[in-house]
Amino acid sequence: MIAAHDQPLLDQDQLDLLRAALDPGALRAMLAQLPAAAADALAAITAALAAGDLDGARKAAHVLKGSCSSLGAARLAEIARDIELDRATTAEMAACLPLLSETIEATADALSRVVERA
Amino acid sequence: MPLSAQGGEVTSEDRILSDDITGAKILIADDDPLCRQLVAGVLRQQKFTRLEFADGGRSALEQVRSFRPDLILLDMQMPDLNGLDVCGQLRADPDFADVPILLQTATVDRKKMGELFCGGASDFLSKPVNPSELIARVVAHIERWNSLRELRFYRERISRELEAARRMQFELLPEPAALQEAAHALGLRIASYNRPSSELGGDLWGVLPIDDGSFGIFLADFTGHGVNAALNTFRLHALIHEYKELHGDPGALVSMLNERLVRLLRIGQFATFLYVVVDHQKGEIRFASAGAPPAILVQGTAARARLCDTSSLPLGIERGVQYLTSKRRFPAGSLLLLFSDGLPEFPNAKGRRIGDKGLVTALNACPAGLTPKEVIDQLCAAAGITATSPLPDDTTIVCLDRRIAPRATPCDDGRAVRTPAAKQVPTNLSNGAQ
Amino acid sequence: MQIHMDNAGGPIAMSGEFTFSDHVPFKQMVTEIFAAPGRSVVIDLSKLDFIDSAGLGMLLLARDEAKKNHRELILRRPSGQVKRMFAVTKFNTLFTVEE
Repeated sequence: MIAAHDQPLLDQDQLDLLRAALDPGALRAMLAQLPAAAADALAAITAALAAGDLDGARKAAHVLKGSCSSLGAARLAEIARDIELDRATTAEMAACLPLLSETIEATADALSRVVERA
Repeated sequence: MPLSAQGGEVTSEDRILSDDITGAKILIADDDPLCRQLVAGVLRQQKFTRLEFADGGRSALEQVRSFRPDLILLDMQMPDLNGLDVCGQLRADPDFADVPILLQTATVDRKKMGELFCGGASDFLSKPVNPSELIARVVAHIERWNSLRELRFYRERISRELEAARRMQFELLPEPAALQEAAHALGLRIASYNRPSSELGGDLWGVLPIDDGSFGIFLADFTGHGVNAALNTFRLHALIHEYKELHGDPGALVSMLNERLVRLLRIGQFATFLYVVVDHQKGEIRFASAGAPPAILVQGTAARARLCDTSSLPLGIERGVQYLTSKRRFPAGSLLLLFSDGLPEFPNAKGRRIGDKGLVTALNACPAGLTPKEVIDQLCAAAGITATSPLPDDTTIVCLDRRIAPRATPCDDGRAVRTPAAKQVPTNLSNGAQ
Repeated sequence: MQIHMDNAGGPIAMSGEFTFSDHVPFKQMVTEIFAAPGRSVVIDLSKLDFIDSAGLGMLLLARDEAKKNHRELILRRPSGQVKRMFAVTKFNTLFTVEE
């Protein structure tokens, strides 16, 4: 968890790269979708853990990591990576979920400010 | 920080891509819709328009077969079938053995990277998506793919044209059935063998009708093989038919062809040429040679085979050469064998060549009563040429004989074969020579 | 086919089989020998086992090059199949051939 806190909420460099390469409207639409997609992933991980499906939880975390890292949500991506690769048991994974939930909200806030200012 | 910020440092990447590149069909396979959207967004911004999507490995395989993309972007980790497996299955299909496949992966593990390339990936794309990297790799692979495809089209077109030229060249040669029929009417039997070393050859042979009592037969071999040599055979064919009035005079025809070819051929190119007038009425042959391999002659059924001296300068080297006509008896029972140097110089499995003298020996060893076709088969076998041997040089063999047995009594002294058929008009010879 | 040249201006020797596939090294050799000063160029053929029509064609190119450079090209001691090829094509009338 310490690693996740070390990460800034947003990866400004990545966002700059996306801005240079994408139509502004398209980027806004993608960033706006990210929190809901992250919430879906959280729900999927929670459900998988409840069913004792470690592999299912890892796969959901992997998808979350992919979209978050590419869309510049650095801290979310780090937590997802942590769940996917560094947690060995359901209990260890479940322990990450509150932070994941919090970070989704914080990321949603930060992204909405980015989108508004566009 | 507005999203529409115009970063000054990115303008250098704003290369306008040509339609050849942006018109490429790209399949984006990723189980995460946001990732698909992101990659598509970056490509659309570069004016790529023909994008299709797959949400997993299996659907990627289906899409590839229906959409037939020019480039495939595959996410490494997909739930049903991972990118590497998809890649492996596509590479096993000849249709997609060399389509560019870019695998997207977050790994920086050197071993895993190695597996990715061993698995048939054309390249990798790092995750998180780096737009400049994505565009650069996609463009590089589409350019490579386009030039590969152009090359393939080009090669296919050339090979179609070569095939057409080969057919045209084949049509220059006498048509075997018509030729045999015509020869039979003159109390002769004839067979031929012609195989180029590549699709197009530098050998040419043909038959020229002269009059009721005689006809001409020529065999030419141009230096080298392939397109250049083949074009020269077309030239020579036209020249031979231009000098119809010389067809009865071997020395004059060969001398004239030489004068013309000296002016047409580049230095270092030449043709060996042998022209034989078979005068079955007089029972003789008259021939002139331009550096051709010696003809082999058997004068009557009881005679031994021997070489005819054909030494002289090939065609197309020196101006003003006077080629002389030689005469030999060609009584009933005789056999004449003409060949290009591909036959005596064919290296057999042991690397040995039969040579002209070896051919004489082989011909003398042939059992009596063989047809010309059988004689050719025997000589090919003696030289080590089989139906499947690749030939290092174009090879032509023509064998004709006056050994048709009269209908009632078999001929054994080789003299009684002035058959009624020999007096018939050779109506069909002209068909063979066109 | 192998080409043996010593740099002392002695004869050039060819050995092995001289066919179409040798056109690149042969042309290169021709360019080199006529770029060097001298009067006559001797090519020793005694170790050459085989020549085909493409090989003969390349000798004609060398002959042409010699003429252009006012040089004399001498072919020395062709033997075996090469000698027979020279006889049947009368190449010994086109070149100075030393036995």
